[in-house]
Amino acid sequence: MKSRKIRKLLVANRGEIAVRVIKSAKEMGIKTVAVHSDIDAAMPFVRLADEAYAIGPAPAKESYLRMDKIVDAAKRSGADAIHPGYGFLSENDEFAELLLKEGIIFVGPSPESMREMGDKTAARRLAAKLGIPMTEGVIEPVNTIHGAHAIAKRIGYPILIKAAAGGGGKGMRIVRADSELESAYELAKSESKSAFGDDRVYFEKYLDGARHVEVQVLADRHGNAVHLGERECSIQRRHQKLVEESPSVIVDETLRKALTEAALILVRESKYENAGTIEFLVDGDKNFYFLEMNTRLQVEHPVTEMRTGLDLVKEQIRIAEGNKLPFKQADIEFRGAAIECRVNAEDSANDFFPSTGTIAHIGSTLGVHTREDRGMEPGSEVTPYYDSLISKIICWGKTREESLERMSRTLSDYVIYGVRTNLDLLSWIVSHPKFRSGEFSTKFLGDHFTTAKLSQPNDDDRLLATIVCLQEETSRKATKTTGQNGAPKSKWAAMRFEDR
Amino acid sequence: MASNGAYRVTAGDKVLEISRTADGGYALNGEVLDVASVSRRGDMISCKFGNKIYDIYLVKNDESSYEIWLNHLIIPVKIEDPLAQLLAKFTKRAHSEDKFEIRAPMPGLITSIRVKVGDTIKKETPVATLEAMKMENEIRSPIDGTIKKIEVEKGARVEKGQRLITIESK
Repeated sequence: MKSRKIRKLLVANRGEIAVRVIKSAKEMGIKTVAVHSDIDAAMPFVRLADEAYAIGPAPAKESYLRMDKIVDAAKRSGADAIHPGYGFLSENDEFAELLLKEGIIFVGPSPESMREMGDKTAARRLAAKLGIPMTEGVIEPVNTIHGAHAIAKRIGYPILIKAAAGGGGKGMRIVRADSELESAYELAKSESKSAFGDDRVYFEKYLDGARHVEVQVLADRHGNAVHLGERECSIQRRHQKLVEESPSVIVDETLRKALTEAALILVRESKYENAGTIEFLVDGDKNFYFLEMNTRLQVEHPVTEMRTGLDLVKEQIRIAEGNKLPFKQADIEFRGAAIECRVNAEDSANDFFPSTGTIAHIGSTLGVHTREDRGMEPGSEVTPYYDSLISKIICWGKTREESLERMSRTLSDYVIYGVRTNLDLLSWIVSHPKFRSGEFSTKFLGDHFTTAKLSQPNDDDRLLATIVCLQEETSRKATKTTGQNGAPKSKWAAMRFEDR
Repeated sequence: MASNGAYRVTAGDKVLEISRTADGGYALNGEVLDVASVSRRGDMISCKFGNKIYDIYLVKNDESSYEIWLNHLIIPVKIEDPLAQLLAKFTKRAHSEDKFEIRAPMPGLITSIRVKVGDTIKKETPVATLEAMKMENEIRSPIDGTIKKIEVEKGARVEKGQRLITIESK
């Protein structure tokens, strides 16, 4: 329980979250080490770190999930701590256990509390014991299709099948009728097996039209814990969050008190340490139900940072060093409203299918009280090996309205060329009247979005596109002749003499 | 050029007919379009259209087919070049049993002959260049074959319909 200062931190992750962690570590005077797969060698996070170690080929299984290679890089670099980011090994208790054995600090919870709270069925058991409301469902994994039918009959459709080891929407299936059960069950199991190496799934009642609200917590190993308010993450596609904001429009003081108390009871009872998030569903009558706990830093943590002025990564590092939380609940101030949009490489017009390619241009247009967490730059490749997140844009405002106006403006002026993104979809969401009025649920996209809602070219757009192409076409064919005839007089002069 | 000298361009889901103006500009239905390039870096082009400047990313897919990235839009553009259409029409007309005669699709100046008699060539191989209307037009072979006869030289002025090259198919 002795505190130990971290002097060199290895970041066992990539992309925007690696960049984000490295920045905070540097600001604390901590040396930073990046590990990267072969295809990531030229990514910004690798350059930003003080040192970088290649740990294998592109597939995550051969690089970012290789505990042995990461520990080896830590030893070679002399790193005394590892930050896992999110995804990859961040919720892997074996990894935390291994680091403990190797004498390397894991910036996250202990292996025990990871097992207790990170495993979805174990967390549900604890929540049940503590009397925290939950959707109807099973606490134990469902192991046979026979058992699946029996449980489906008991809790009634629609049901949600979830991976016990899960996160990020993987291994998750909604089943609305008996006829869909068998294939959904098998799919969830195999998806879960390939994503987490664990095919246990459990069932719970699916709440149609519910909202996703989560509570951010910080806890030290000395028994101190605080909550940092809620985030609402109801806007999702494929069970993955797209837009997150704080505060939630449906959370009033009474509900906030109940949610944060439930979250802190779970944290204390599981002796949880470091940053964590407790996820709930909230129905139309403001009843809430415990969903699961994420025993790591969340993608959407900047929303909380914008409202509280805290740096969660710095707090994580201080906690991991063994320090006491430097503040009490009453010291936490919540200011205004913040919203985050996840800019993904995906094709909104084609069922959100991931897109790949080389980023040719990024035109950031950030204004005041706006932050961008991005791990890519022009020239960066979006490959099929990793998740599709290109950038997170976070806007703060004195009021929700102001934060949304700021986001709306930022998105509409923001361009990424070379790789298809969901920027247009995000723009549509943020300006949608139902989103503005706060009347939405996890079904928002299903209820309101069709590809026809995406921007279509108008007459001017088509004309401009046409003329640029015509000029390209004719200038390629006419280079010689214009040369002979002297300088052309057209307005396209500048363009003709540029190198291709 | 074609009857009205206009390019037929498919942009997105619409077809536009654009004509060239004397000073190298473009017009739609007789109305001159106020478009000018401001700068260019690789395939990133800044364009002034009316009084607004746009950043555009140009992707060339294949011959006469492009993709224009304009803010959150990706607009496919397909150009039907009247000259190219005419060239295709003329080579087609010369078709006989086993011989293809390439004729000049318009009056102009032969600026290069790219083959010699006896050469074996593939379909789409450039065989000559014809300068007409201030543009160099590549004349390509419509078939796989052997060059049988060349009836013009570099620098020759040719009339519309004049026979240039004869190709024997294999």
